[in-house]
Amino acid sequence: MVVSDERLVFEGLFRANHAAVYRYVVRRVEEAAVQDVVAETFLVAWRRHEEIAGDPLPWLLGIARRACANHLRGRERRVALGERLAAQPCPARSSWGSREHGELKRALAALGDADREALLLVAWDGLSNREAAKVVGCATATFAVRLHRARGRLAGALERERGDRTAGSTPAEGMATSDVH
Amino acid sequence: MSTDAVMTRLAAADPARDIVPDRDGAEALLELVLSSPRDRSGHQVPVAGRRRRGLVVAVALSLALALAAAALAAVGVIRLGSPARPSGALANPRQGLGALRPGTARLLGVAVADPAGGLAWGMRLLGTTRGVGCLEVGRLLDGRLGVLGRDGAFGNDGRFHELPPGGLSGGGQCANLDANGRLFYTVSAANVPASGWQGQGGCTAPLPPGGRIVGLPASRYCRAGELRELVYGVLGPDATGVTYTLGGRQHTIKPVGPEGAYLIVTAHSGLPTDHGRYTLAGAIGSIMPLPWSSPITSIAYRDGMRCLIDATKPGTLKGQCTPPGYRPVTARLSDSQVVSPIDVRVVAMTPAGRRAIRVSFTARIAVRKAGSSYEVAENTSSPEAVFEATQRNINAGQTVTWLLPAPKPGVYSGKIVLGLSGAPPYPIYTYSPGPLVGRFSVRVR
Repeated sequence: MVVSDERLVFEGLFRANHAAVYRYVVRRVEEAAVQDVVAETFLVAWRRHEEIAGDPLPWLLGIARRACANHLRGRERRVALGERLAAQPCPARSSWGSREHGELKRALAALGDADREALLLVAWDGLSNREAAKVVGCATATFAVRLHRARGRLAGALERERGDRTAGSTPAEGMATSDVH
Repeated sequence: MSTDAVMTRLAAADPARDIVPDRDGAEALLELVLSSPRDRSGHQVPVAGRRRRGLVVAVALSLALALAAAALAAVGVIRLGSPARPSGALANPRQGLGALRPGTARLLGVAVADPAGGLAWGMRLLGTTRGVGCLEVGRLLDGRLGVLGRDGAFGNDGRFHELPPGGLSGGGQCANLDANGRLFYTVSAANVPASGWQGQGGCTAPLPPGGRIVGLPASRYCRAGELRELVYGVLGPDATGVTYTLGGRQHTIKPVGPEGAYLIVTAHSGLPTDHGRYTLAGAIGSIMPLPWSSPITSIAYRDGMRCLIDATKPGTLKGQCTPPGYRPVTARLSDSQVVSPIDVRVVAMTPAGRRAIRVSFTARIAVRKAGSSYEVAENTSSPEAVFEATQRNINAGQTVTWLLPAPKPGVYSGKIVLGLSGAPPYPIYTYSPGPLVGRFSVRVR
């Protein structure tokens, strides 16, 4: 039996990177959709793996990123508040849903998409600035600046979260309007 | 906290840190991916290619059946079945999406042939009592919108089952109306059975390689030829042309009526379909078509404006057009207009003295639209963090009360906001909490 080189190359690529891609997807879509999005990522990768230049992981995560985005866009639009927060790039897994991470989750949710993505690619996916820049499709220097700013914003958001947690009720009097919404 | 410490803390909170994917599942996926033929140009759909022969046979078979059905229908022989049951989505005029607003349900003037023949596809628009517009698609018979008893639906009885107006039985797609009360909404939907029926009992679209629904027998999955891609929407009265590319060929159709309605129907494999430029998997709705989920490349308008859908930068809204005539709903309320004293107390619930927190306040602003709700959000520092939204009509001066569970001792705190959403929220969901009614905090001993 003759196995073509491209199959062998792809098998190596798949086995070396499947776990990283799987974890990337797990962090970003709900559990029920993980298998679908991972499968879609590797189907696209198989069809296009001749496009790879250099390290395949950033390239694969770039495909996974688009697959996740497509999936999230397709979800129901009208969702309750709880679901909205759950739709942030953190599935409602037990560790993430625990109390000690609540403050961090809310602070992350307060950031812009680009800031959050920069932080998570480095802190969770373990990518270097150069690799993360390839995933999002920008220059390494641009990504480094984005990450630096995002770190500062997250620190600020965490400080504000602490302020929120200690704030009490703010009652006010009066009932002046009958606007309808 | 230093930014380095922030990154360390963030890394420690990685929810997937300890997850190891199942090796057997990974190997099965690899095998399935490798069995999918490659197209070096990168533009061909591998799954469709792999199944082409089967698809041709299935389409031919479907075509024969559909032609037979069409012939029967043409001579008035296609039999009517019982109307589809309402889904219950529009059951209450004062909550959720609301109920059908009388006089708003109307068939739009589109009738599009099915790839396998048979009854044409059509579309209905309806409005609800809570400011929502919905689009329903289905098969047309004598000016009625319905579904066919096939592909597992209605016991494969071969009959036409009317979709009752306001029932949303056929899987309608809804979005908030704009500030002028008009619907601007576009949908790309894969995996719609050729029967038109998207409710219970119909076949289920197959999952991508490696995926299966536990407990679902193979016979319940839709077969090739039984599924369609539906791309449809309403673009407003000024739209004059919709240009799209399918199968490498460019087409232009003219939107119909004052709603600017269009409908495109093609065969679908049932698997996520990568057309090269865009991918279709599931249903995606947005004000304007999105280049990564729709074959539409441009939309022309009466004033000469041409909206290039292709110009939208993938993953962002940069380059996206606002359709002429669309007026967004904007919330202009400030905290001072909604702020109200919050009454919070611990109450004993029967049986067994379970305790709960009763949170109430008097609403100053009435809520009548599905896009608005008073929302209570307990801080995640509370022993139990609960989120709830009213999702019903609230009068000004009305007392709103929630009973929130308090299973453990501790300090429960949170806030109440008036959540306001635009129409429709697209394409990437961003949460805007809206003006603050107030905060609360209570200790449960």
